[in-house]
Amino acid sequence: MKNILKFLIILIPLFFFSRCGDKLLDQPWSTTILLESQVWNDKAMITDLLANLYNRLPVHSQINSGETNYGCYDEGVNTGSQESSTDIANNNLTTYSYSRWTLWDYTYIRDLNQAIESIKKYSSKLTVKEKQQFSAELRFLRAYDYFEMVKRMGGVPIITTQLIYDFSGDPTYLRHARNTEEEVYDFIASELDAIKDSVGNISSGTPSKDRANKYSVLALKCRAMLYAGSIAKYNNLLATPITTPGKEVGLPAARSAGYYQASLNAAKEIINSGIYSLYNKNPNPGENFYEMIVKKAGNPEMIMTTDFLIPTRKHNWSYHEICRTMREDNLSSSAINPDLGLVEAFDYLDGTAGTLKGVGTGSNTAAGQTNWIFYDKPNDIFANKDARLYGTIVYPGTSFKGVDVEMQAGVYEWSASLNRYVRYESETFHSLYTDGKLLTGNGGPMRISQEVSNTGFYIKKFIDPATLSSARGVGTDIWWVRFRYGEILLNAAEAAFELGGANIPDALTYVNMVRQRAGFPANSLYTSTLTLAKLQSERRLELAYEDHRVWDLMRWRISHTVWNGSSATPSANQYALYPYRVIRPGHPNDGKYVFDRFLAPKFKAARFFQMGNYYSAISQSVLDNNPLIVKNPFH
Amino acid sequence: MKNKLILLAVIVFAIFIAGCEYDNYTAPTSFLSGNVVYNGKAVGVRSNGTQLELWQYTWDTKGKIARAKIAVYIAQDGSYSARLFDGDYKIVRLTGAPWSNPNTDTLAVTVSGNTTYDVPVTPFYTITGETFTYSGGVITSTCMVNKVGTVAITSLTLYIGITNIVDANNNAQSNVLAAAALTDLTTPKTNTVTLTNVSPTFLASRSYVYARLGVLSAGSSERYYSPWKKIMLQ
Repeated sequence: MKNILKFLIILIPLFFFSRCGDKLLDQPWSTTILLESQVWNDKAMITDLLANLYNRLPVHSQINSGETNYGCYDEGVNTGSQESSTDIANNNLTTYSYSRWTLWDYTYIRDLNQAIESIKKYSSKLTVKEKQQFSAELRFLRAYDYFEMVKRMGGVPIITTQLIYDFSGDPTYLRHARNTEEEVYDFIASELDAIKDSVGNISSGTPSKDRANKYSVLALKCRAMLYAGSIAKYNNLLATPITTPGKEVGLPAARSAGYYQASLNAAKEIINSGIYSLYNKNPNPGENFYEMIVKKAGNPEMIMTTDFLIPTRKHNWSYHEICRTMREDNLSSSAINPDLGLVEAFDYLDGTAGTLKGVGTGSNTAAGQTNWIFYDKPNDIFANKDARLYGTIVYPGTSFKGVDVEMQAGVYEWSASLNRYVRYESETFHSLYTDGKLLTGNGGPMRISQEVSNTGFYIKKFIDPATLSSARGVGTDIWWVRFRYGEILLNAAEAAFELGGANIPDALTYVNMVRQRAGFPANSLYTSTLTLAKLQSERRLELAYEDHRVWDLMRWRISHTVWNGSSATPSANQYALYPYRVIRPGHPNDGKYVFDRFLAPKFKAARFFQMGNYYSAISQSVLDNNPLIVKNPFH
Repeated sequence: MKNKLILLAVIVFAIFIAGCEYDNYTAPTSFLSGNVVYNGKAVGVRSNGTQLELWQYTWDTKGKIARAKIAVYIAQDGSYSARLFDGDYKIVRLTGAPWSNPNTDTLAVTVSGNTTYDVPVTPFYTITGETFTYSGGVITSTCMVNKVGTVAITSLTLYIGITNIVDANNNAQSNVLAAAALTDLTTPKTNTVTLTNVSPTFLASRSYVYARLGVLSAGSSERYYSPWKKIMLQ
C-alpha cells in the first residue's frame, strides 16, 4: 500500500510537469481559417490535395503495401518472416474469405466528388484550362477507383456528386441502389473518353509518369475494357454464369466484342503515338528485363508509376524480399519465395514447354533418383530459358548485386551398400560437409528456417540494385509500376486475338514484340500457335509481381479450376526445387549437381478459389444501412 | 506479496465494475441441431465448405435489430448445430452448395430448448450403394450416381485420406472419373486408386486409410459426398 502511495505521489506531479513547457497549448487558438475560396484558388494547395488523393488509390499486392498477398496465389510462398496473420504466414489458407477483396471505397469517392464540385464552384482565379486539368485528373482517379471496385464487387452505386444530409430526420433519400456491372464499366469508359484531351500533364511532348495524362487515361481504359470484354465472354461460358436478377453482376455476352474493340483502340492510340517503346537498352535480355523495372532515367516503357523519392516515402520491398545471401540488414529477407510452378511456366527459347529436365522426386530412395540429370553447374538446368526468368527470379548458380547467391540445399553422397545416393541437409548457413566442401549454402534453400528461401528461388523484380537499399534505415525508392508499355502490348494482343479475323496479325505482332524482348527469335508465335492459353501464360510471365495474376484469372473465369483446392492439382499447389552437390569420388558424376522437386515444405493448404470469390462480399454494415443494396451471389 | 494482493484486488474490482453494463446476459443455452437431408438421408459435404445462414428476428438490443447473420457451417456428414437463445429464426440455404437453390430459400424455425430441425435440400446428384474394397495396393469403389435435377455432371472422384476428414481439399490421393465416363448412369461406376508411398503421407505402408466419393456437377463448385469409410490395409 505504501509503495503504491509513493508511486502516486511521484506520478501525479509528473503530469503537471509534462504540461509546463507545452507552448502549443498556451498559445491562443488560431483564428485564421482557410476558406474554400482560398483553397480552391491556390494551385499549390490543390496539388497538395491531389498528392494525397493519388496516394489513396486502392492497393492489393504492391511493393510498398500488401506484399504478403504475393504469397497467397501462385507467384510464391510466404516464409513467415513478414506476415503476422498465421494462416497467411503458414501458407495455410484453406479458402479465400469472401471478403478478401472487398472494397467499398466511398470515403475516397466522396473526397473526389467534393474536390470536383469545389473546383467548379470556387476556383474563379484559375484559368479555364487549369480548372479543366485539375478536374480531369480528379475524374481519372474516380474512374480508377470505380474500376478497382467493379473488378472486386461487380456493379456498385455510381455516385458522382457529394451526398449531403439535410438534417430533416429522414436520410433515406441518400440511399442508392447498385448500378449494373455493365453500367459501371460504361461509366468508366465514358469518363475516360471525356477527360482524355483535357487532362494535360504533358510538357513539351513528354508525358508525366507520376500524374494522369492522355496516355495513362488510355492505359486505364485499355485495361478496364479488356476486363469487361473477358468477363462478358467467359462468365457466360461458365456452366452456370454468375449473375444476379438485377444484373448487378454479370455482363451480357453481346457486349464482349465491343469492349474488346474499345480496349484495342485505346491500346493502338498509345502504340501509334510513338511516345513509348519497350525498354531495350541492355544487349543481355535477362539483365535488360530486370533493368526495365529498376532503371528510372530515360525509361521509355513506363506510362504511369508511383515513385518514392522523398526519403520518408521510401519503402522496404528490398528489405523484405532480397535474397538471403546479400541481405544488408540483420533481419528479414526472403519473405516471399517464387514457386517452381512460376519458374517452369517460363518456356525454353526454342519454344518448348518450360518443364525442367532431369529432376528427382526428393523421396531419398533409389526410385526418386532415376530421373536425375547430373549438371556441371547449378544454373545449367535453367539454360536457354525465357530471359525474363533471369530478370524476375534469382535462381541457383547465378549472382546478384555482384555476389554469388550460393544456393545449395545439401549433398547426395553415394552409398555402395545401399546402391543409391544418400541425402544430407543442414539448417546452418554456409555449413561444410565432412569433405570440406559446401553442404548448405548461404542462400539456402532450407526446409524449416525463416528468412531464407523455402522453394529454392528468390524474387528479383523490383529489388533495388543500390547498395544498402535492403537495410531498414535506408530503404528503397524503386517505383511501383501502374501501367507500362509491355502490358499495353499484351492487352492489345489479347483484345485482337479475341476479336479474331483480320485482327490476328496485329495480335501476333504485339505479342511477338514482347517475346522478342525476352530473348525469343522474331515471330516466335504464329497463327497456329497463338492460343488464349499462350497469351494467359505470357501475361503471367511478363507481369509477374505487378498485381495482375489474381485479377487476370478472375476475369478469365478460370480461378476456380486453376486453384481448385485439391492437393492433386499442380496449379493449386506450390513446389520447391532443391539443388544438391553429388559426392562420389572417382566417378564422373562427382562434384556435379542434381535437383529434387517436391511440395514446398512450408506450403500447407492448396489454393482454393470458390465460385463465391469471383465477386466479393458486401459488408454487413453496408447492407444494414442501405436496404437497396443486394448481396452478391453465394454470400 | 501484500502489494500484489492489493493490486490484484483493485484489478478484480475494476473488472467487476467494467463488466456491469454489457455482460449481464446469461449465455445462450438452447441447442439447435439437425441434418441437411434429401429423401431422409443426410447429405455429405466438404468440411468447412458449405454453410447455412441463421437470422434471428426477435433479438433486439436497445431498439436496434441485430441484422448480422449467424454463419453455421455444415459438418462433412451433413449435420449442423448452433448454440442459441430461444426465439424465432430463419434458416437460409445459400447458393454455392451441392444442391439447387430453391426460390423460397428461407425456412422458419422456432428454437425452444434443445430443438432438432432437418433442413431439406435437393442435390444435383446423389451417390448410393457405395462400396469400397482393398486388394493388392489398389482401392476400388463402386457406386450408383443418381441424377436429381437437370444440370450436367462434371466428375466423380474417389478420395483417399489419412484422417476421417476426407474431401476435395483434404486428401492424400484421388482419382477423377471425367464426365465422358459418366454418360450412362444406369450402371454402377467403378473408380480405383493405386496407393503410393510418397512423402509425407506414405499411404501404401499405413495400416488403414479413409475413402470417400464425391460427385461434382455444373450446378455448383461444391460436391455431394458419400459417407466416409475406414479401410484396413493390413
